Amino acid sequence: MEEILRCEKISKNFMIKDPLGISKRKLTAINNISLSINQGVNTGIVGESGSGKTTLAKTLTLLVRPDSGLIYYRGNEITKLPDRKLRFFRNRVRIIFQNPYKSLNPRSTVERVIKEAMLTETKTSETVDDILSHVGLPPEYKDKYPHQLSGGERQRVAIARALVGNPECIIADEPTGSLDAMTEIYILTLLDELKKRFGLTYVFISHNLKIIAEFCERIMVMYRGHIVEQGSVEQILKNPLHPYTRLLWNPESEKFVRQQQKYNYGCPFLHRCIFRMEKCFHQSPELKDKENGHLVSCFLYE
Amino acid sequence: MKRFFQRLRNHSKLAYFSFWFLVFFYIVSFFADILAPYHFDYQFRNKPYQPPTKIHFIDESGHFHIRPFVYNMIIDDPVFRTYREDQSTRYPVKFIVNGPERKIFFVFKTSKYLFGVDEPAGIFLFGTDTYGRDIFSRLLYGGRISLSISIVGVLISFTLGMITGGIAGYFGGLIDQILMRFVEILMVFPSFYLMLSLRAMFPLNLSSIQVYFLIVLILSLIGWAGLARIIRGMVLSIKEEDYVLAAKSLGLSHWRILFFHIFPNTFSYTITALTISVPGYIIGEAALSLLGLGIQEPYPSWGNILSSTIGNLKVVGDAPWLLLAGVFIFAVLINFNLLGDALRNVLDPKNW
Repeated sequence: MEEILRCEKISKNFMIKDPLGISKRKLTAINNISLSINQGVNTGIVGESGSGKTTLAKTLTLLVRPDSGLIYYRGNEITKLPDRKLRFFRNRVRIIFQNPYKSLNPRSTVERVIKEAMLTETKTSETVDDILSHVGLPPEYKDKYPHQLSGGERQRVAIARALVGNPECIIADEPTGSLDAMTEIYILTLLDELKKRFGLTYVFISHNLKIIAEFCERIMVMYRGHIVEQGSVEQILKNPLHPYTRLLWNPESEKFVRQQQKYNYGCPFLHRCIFRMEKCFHQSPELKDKENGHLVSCFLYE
Repeated sequence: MKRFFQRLRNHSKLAYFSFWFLVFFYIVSFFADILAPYHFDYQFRNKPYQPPTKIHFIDESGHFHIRPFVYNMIIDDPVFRTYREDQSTRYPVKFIVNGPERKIFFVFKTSKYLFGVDEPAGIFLFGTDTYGRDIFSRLLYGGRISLSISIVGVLISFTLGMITGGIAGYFGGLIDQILMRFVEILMVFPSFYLMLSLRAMFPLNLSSIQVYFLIVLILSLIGWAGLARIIRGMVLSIKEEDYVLAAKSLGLSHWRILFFHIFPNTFSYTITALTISVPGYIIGEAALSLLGLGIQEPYPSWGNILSSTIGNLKVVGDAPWLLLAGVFIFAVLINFNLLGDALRNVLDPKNW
């Protein structure tokens, strides 16, 4: 299995100033994450809002530079490369954003959106019509502006843009997050078709474990910037180990446990965990291999 | 382009009219050398403050003439400057007449004008000023200066403002700090005193047009500072938008992102600001001329035609046609404002 992307211990912090700009607060969006994405293995990243999924997606595509840690693309380190040297990478690893209402320039027609993606490509044998037909849009849509399209159509345009120039990996950041249930199914089916037709590898980010389970072969569960559990679909579905993964499967149980207070020490999941122990208050567990590539970071399994 | 006019017309008939009105004004003043019956400094010394010449079709004996004609106006009372028509000779209005050679914008030579009458009669559509110069011709020539200079000023200040603000906002960090501190230095100059001292500094042998171009250059070199700050703020927020990130993720160059994704999305502000600041330059020019800093006699501009009436209320009462320059300024201002308002909506794809 060939490795496309690998990141080692990347962290990203954001400084949040109070309105007067006097004191700063550090917000850790992603913390010490290591992962690798292999060709043909679709990876799902699941977690609730604010768990750092989108930041991770932007960091993986180097739209946001990590504060620490290294990112490798096919074995070459690219973390600090300037944008103009990243073209080869940008053409091969593409990102689809969550909200198609925001990810298309309101002043560009569909044709311009796609042509622009072709600009950075060396070979452009494909035409705009071809690309539109791949995503199931008629060629007349070329002259339309984003506001004339529905949410699903916009997302198709965004997918078309990502497809230009034969990418190998597409990072889909909640591509159906702002769509209704029916459109969601259409888009997911489309993504699935494209996967087969172009041999794409997806990194699929979602808060919905069920979609991830259908779509991916490997799952990572994120919580507050940490990867708390990682494993194949079967391992995560049949045998969820981390209390948070169990919670994702059964969100209703949450309301009995949740505490308002967040601890800035110990295990990141401390304040919501029903299994917490004395030890959890003092140190954060490490991500450890439990069996056959099923990794979990919880003291319950040590 | 065709769609643009359709959209403009559909959006607002008034703005559509304003657009063509302004185009008309610009064309007319551009071709002032052909359209004006007299050169701007051609004087009829015996006809100061002559009221607008009446154009007749019927002569004193009741005969109708297809070709319109004028009478020579003779000063009746040199103290109160009352005029009467000397009806002894008819002077027919001639079209495409020959006269002294003029240069259209200093390049093309022409010795034919659209219309005129034989001397000693004069055709003064809007009357004459204190030296007996034709106000109509002076308004056309003055429009050339007032209108063109505003465009030049606006173009300079907007290019500088957009690029500086865009670079500062987009790249951020040290570049932003340096550019913005520089902009702040520019903003603290009291522009009025700067203008006065600059005018005093220029050598006296410059023609007033050269001086004025220099002043406009300096004004616009100062005037872009405020705009740059606003653009920077807008760019700061736009660059965080997903579509800019998406463009970045495609590997597009910074310049392409800046010019194709960020600047077009500041248009809602800049188009309005641009059209509204055009009148600012026209008014600024008028104010400068009033203080003697702008275009100097004999060169006309709407500002100094208007300013020649100030300080002498009796003249305003006796020769109200001198105020027509003010009417022209007002008409251009209101049309620019109407157009700017409509353009903001017309250029927004959401309204298409």
